[in-house]
Amino acid sequence: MKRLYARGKLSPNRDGARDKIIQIVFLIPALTIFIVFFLYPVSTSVMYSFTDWNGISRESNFIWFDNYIEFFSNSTIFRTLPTTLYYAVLNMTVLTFGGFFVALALNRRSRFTPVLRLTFFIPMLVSGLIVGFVFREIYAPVLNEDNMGIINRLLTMVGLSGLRGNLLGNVNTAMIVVVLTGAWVQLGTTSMIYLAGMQIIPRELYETAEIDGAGYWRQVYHITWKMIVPSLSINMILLLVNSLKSYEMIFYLTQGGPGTATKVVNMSVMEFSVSAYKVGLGCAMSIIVALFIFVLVTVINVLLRRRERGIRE
Amino acid sequence: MNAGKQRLRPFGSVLKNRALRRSLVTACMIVVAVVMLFPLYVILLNSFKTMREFWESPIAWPKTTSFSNYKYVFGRLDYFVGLRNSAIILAGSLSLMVITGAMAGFVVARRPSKIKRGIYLMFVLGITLPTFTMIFPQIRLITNLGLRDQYLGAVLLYVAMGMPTAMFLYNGFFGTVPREMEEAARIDGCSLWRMFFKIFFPLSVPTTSTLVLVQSIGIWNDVTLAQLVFNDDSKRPLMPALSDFYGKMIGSAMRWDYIYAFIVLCIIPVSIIFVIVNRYLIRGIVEGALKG
Repeated sequence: MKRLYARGKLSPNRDGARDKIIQIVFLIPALTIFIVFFLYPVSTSVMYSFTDWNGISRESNFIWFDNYIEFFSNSTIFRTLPTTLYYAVLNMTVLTFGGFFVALALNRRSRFTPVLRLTFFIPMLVSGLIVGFVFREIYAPVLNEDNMGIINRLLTMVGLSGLRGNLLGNVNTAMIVVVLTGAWVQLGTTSMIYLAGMQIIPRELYETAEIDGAGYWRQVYHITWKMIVPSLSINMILLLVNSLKSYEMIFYLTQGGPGTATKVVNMSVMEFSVSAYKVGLGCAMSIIVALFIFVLVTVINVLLRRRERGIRE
Repeated sequence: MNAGKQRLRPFGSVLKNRALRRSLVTACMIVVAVVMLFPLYVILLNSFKTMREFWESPIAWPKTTSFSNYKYVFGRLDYFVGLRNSAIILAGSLSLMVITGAMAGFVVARRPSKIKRGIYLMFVLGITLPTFTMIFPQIRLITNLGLRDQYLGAVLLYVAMGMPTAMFLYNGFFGTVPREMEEAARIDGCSLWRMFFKIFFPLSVPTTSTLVLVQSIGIWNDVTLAQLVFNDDSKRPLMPALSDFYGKMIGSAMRWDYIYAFIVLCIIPVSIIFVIVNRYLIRGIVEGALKG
């Protein structure tokens, strides 16, 4: 054994140099692609945000902070920010708790578990475009007795015609419907992350609790919920980032309507950049969103770290 | 004997309680599962119906199983051209992302230094950036490079945008591989190159499957970027093709029956990827659990 180590050390310098070269060779492809097609566009985006670039012409004028000022002073644009936050908060609440309970139920050994898991995971394969097309049909309002959305049809069939309505056309229900539709897609991912965390919790903890006479819900609260903090942090951060980034599903479901009830920031960005030829303004808006995400993620991270530490002690 | 019976009794009541709770939870889950499956049921069911049946009731069982909608979709070029393009873009993006991401993640995790830590952070911070922060400059860039309407243009953008996730996953995984494994390889005179390709990369199958699954879903289902990159119909992937098909079918005669068949055919390929990859995912989790 010693001789083998010695042989390995015979040419440390030459090996070290080769090692370094290979390290660089390994890093270069990923770095090049990332710098050229990610970092460079991001930095040009920051540049464009100070100009009135229309997305087509070669020239553009430097207009300082006008785009940023417009974001905060133009109420039709600014209104999308609270809407986005409202969506993010609802989305996070529904999924952090919903996903937890689903994972709890999927974590048991039962003959239905494999089928149930598949059931919850399949919707995440469906694209926002398809979700939009299909759910619009599901939520469609009553046009006449022969032509109505699927939910309204079901309500008629069970004799609850009084509850029929226009779910996506109503300012009060539109956002809730959008969040629930989003939950349909994301529930699988969220509960999968929880499940991975639940499977690491040592069984002995539950056995000890059982002997101490702790009931099921006490075990869930004191053991599962507290031991799952790493999965909880990943989930909360992913959900926050994804809900602030979301665009496609909401766009194909509601187009931002009714009025501007479900118009999130990214819809406004797309509108200004593509239809109104104000790419500079679009860039400024999306940079504000990015900063927003960055700040919120940092805050959540700090809070969760503190909680994690508190539990360990 | 007596003592034994006394100890058994509370145990029995716990069991009964548990059996009741278990069946209650199962019942709840089945109800939720039915709700979850309902939209998929609607899609699948209506893809087999004639238009008249669809308008009569979109939730009733079809009277005759007919494949005429599928025949119609298969008879058009839209679907197959879109499928081919999506497959090329997906295969290209995934292979490039996996190989470059794994190599970089390996170096960052196994040969740490301050610079590499900085590089890693730079990559990972990218996760928080929304697509819209860079999408228009990206389109301008690939237009300038002559990659607009080219598969390579889309591939490079998808790889760049997936790189933060790839780095995050691979750095995490390669960081957990025990040191002894690397030392054993070094004793055998393995260079870093061979160590990666012979030992570390094959070990990363569960991580690679996770990455492949997450990115396949993202790339397969992307509409916005694909619509901006491709103006040329013959190069366009499946989702923009579906969007166009929807416009044509609704515009001409509200042919929902054809649309549903097209939708089913769009979900099937990504489901196949899911089924294949899922097996490795589960195996990875089981292996991880056994190694403790």
